[in-house]
Amino acid sequence: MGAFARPLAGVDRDAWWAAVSPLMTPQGRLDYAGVDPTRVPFTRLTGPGLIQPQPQEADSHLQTLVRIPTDAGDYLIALEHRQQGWLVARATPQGSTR
Amino acid sequence: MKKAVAAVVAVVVSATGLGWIALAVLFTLFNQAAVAAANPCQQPLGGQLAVGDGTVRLPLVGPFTVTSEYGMRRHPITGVWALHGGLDLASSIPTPTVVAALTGSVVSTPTEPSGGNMIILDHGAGVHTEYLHLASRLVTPGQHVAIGQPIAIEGTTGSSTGVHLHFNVRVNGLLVNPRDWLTAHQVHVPALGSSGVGPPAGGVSAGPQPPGTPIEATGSAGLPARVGEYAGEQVRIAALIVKAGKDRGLDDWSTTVAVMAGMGESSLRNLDHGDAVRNDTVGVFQEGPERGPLSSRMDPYAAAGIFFDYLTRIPDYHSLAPTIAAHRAQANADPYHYEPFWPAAAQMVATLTANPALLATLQASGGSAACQPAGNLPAPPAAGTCPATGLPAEVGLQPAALTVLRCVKAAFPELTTIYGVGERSGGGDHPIGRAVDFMIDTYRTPEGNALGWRVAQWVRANAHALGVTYVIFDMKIWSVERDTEGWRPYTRYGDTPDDTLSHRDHVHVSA
Repeated sequence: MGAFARPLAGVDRDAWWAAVSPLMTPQGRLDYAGVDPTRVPFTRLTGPGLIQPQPQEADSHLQTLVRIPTDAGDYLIALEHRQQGWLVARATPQGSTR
Repeated sequence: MKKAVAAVVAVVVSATGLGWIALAVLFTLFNQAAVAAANPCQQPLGGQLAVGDGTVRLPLVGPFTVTSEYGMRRHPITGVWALHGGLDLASSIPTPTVVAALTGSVVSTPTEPSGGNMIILDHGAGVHTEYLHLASRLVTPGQHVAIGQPIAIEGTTGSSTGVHLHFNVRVNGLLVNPRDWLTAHQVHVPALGSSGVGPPAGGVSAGPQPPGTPIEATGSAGLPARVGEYAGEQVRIAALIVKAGKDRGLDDWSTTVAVMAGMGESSLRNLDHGDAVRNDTVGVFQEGPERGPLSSRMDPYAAAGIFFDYLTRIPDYHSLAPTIAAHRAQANADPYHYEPFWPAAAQMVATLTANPALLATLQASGGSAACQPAGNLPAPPAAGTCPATGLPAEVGLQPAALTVLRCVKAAFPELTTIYGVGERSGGGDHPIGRAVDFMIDTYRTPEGNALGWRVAQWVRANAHALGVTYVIFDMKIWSVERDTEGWRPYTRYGDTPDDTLSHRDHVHVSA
């Protein structure tokens, strides 16, 4: 999640994506490939993540939700367990941002 | 912080797009009379009378929206990933009537926890149709029903999140994709999220309509005051977005993506400021300076045009989930940001397109008459017979441009200041005698602007006969090459205050 933060000026998009994309599920990589990192609202994490109650839906992969505070509000991270370990499927801002 | 919250739960629930409540009273009567497309800006609109081969029809009467497809999806209530075995159609009128899709007999009328009040019809040859979530049933087991005969009122009984008809087709006991089955019987089914119109009850044999005939509303009472959670100016902005899409010849799915993006960016408000991350983004789509002049980004119609420019540039964008398509166009931070707005956007577009008169009477942008009905235009030119004008501007023109000058002057005698080769400097078509400028002396007045648009629309309507290649007026351009996009923003000189460079003060015609 720290990797996803808005980079400092001077870090280009490709470098940012090179750091972020290996942490994501294949679907996540497809969906987030169009993100402009300069528009990511937060710049750093502000505390530890809290594991959230398991969602009811039954996916084919184990899923865990983690709530992570940032300097632009909390994010809800959907993690899926794959061979490589836990990968990010979605990172959904809980505040009002786009 | 103005953007709406997108809670994960809302995301999951809304992914199925079933938030259909009966729409407010928007649809008065509609009839099937064809609309004569007098206005060249007016594209054929979404609502279509789907008339098939006569043996099968849509199971609904009147305007509706396709809200869910046959296929794997997450159930909106249980959250379970499973086959959605039918096609969901949500009517947009009160007490919508469900009719038999084809002639047959009533097998049973069960009530189940999932399907609610149901009707199962047998049509012979191993074909059954099933109608789920009904409010009430009008038939009993054993009864014979004819195609188009009312059999039920649409409802939301059983496992359902809003009033809609879930329509199943079984062939030899197995569920098949109703869309494919209807299509095979030459019944047109609008795309997911798009709207259509079911034929009147009582069968389609009486006076079938040609497919694609636009419906016409009786009267045009203006835009609805409220659609779902959106009201007033928000509805007008949504209508401008839809109109911008229609004027480009885009389908309802694409315009729905744009309305969804507008909801997610600004709640359909023409904001004059940005957000916490970027304070230089403005307008309905929160577009930054890199996307065009301020005047365009703050003009909902033009801003939507910018959005469509980016959307349609995405390869194969129709194959993407709506929120991903919008995200790729907007390059925002959260790809799923727009997802919760899809049902509301689909409802909005269905409402605004079900009645073509709503859009036809809408003024396009910031006082511009670009796509207003042009009124009664002069008759087409009698090619080759338009009289010489004696104006100095005729000197040096190529044959096609000369025809344009003479025929426009004949159709609009009130135009007195006309420029050809000698009066215009610089590059482009003027020095080579392929362009004519018709100056609108009174362009600063509404009447002058309207006159300019009448000229521009008339030239566009007769472009083929006149050999015209493109027309520019009032910061809009239309070209033969990109005819399907209609009048596009003319951005060559950006935000220039010069009324000649921006073509506010004259109609430029190249031929």
